[in-house]
Amino acid sequence: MRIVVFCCENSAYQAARQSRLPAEVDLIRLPCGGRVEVLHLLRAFEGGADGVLVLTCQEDNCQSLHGSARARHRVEYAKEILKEIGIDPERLQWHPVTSNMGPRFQKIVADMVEGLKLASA
Amino acid sequence: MARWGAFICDGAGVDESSLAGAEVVVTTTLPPQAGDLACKLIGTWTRYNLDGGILIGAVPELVEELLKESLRQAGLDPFRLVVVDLRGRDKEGKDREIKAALTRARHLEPTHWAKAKVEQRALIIGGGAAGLQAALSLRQLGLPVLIVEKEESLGGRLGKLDGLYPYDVDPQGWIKSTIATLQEDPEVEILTASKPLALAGQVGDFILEVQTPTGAVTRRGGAVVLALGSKVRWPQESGLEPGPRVVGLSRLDELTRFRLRHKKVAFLLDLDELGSRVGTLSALRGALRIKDNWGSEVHVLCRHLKVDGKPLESMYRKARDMGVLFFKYEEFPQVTESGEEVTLQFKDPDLEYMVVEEAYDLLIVEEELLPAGEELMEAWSVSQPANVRLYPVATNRKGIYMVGCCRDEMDFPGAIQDGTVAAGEIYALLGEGDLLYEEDRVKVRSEKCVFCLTCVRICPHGAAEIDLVQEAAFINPAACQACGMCAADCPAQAIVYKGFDNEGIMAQLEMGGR
Repeated sequence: MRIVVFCCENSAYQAARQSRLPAEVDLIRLPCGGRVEVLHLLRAFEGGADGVLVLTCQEDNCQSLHGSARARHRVEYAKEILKEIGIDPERLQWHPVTSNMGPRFQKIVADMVEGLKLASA
Repeated sequence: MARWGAFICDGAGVDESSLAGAEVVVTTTLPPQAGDLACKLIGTWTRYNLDGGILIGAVPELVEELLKESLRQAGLDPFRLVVVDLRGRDKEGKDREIKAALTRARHLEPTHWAKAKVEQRALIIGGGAAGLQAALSLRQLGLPVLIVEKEESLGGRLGKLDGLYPYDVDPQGWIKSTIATLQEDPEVEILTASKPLALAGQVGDFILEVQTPTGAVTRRGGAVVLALGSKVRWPQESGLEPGPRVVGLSRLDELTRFRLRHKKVAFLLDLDELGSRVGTLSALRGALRIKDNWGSEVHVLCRHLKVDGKPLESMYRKARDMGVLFFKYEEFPQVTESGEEVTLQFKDPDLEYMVVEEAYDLLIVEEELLPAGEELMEAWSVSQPANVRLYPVATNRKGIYMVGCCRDEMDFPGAIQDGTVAAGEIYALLGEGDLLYEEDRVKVRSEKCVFCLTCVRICPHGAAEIDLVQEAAFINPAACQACGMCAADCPAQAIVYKGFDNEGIMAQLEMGGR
């Protein structure tokens, strides 16, 4: 199993540093949630990811003001594409995580692992 | 071929075998203390003339920041330090993290730094309390200032007030002495009865065009302070009409200067459900003032009195001691005007909804205070959403600050604090005399740019500009805050974000695939 986690450097990446992560997680550090492209999300699945998470700042707390909102919109759009090509859109998720939310980061990843295990059972 | 070094922290739980296949010229083990770590890192980096380093181990964010700052001060490129924080990862996870870091490192190009001289002057738009305080503080820090004021005289809303309960400040005195200090100072230019026309340029070198009574002038400055104040709006929705018996709270000082005495006065607050703290403050101030000047009977009608903190609470108690009566209402009172009287009929929940009917010879109504200068902000792409990263005075644009009532409803101490804070931030920005920035972190490849202006529209920091000569967009490197939003949204993929370019991100994605 492989889970790709796109992390905003200002928030989720700092949270990742405070959490215990399973081996199958690949962290991709981004300067801001707004940097993530639909192409990156799809390419992650193409590269064999079973789940993709986009974890960015709280929406009204983004250093680039609407970077986090843009990330969410792109995730929503990519979910539509996944639906069309027959991949369960639940395999792609966006969540806001602040820099001090290590436990929440861990929980989101654990939930994703759990969900994927159920889906493959 | 880039020369990379690998630095493995003591107790990282990895050894050189994790780096198998990597093209590194040196591998060093580092001590656990951050200070020693910086010395050894920089020492090895310079000795081997490295282009970059991969730091592997338990590296908390603060240590990473410290090391990057140390590198910057040593004249090395902090962006070429790739940090792999291995905390919380098991053996397999560690290997994957290291592999990803090596992939990232391969795609990192060197950063080019540029240093630009800044205009050390600050351009202050608005000469109210906050703007004047910003000017005073900036002068104390040694930076020249320009003040542009639309009225004939400085002072803003504060200048219209006679007294400032609960604060022991005489507004007229404060304004007078502040203006005197500023006018004596040869490094202060004051343009009154003037209007800003246009703002060009970016942080470090803004160009402001001002319409003065004697014609348009142009001034340059490294930073801009917007102290645009507030405007008063009559609460039309209430159905009340201003007249001789019904007046707005903002006209209180003007009224109490007259000898004409009203025997019974009511304040009507919280017209818009939530009401405002400044409304409560002004009404309490007004109630005390009327008691002092006229000795009238005073009632205050509100939904909730907003008395936070000691100064307001003590003012409220003082008003009560002086005989001011406070009533609450939930349903908006019925107001009837007849000849010399205004009658209010309402139900007070604290009096078990008893119907109260009282006639007054003056009704003072709380108006809505709105931030002024929206047109200016829109024209200059300045915004200040409620965002903790900008709090209190920063805006979306680097080098532009907002202070006083144009950013939030505020009392006098708030305005003073804002002006001081903005001055401090501007000093941090311009005090050195030059601005250091990365010249090509985010760059438009002009040959690929189709001039669609997507970046200009979406850049949250107003850093995307138009280069008419090249017929391409241009990301101003001094104003750019490197979020990468433009690189993600550019339909022509013409914008490259060094260190986070598509090739690098894709390589990391492919590397993990099995």
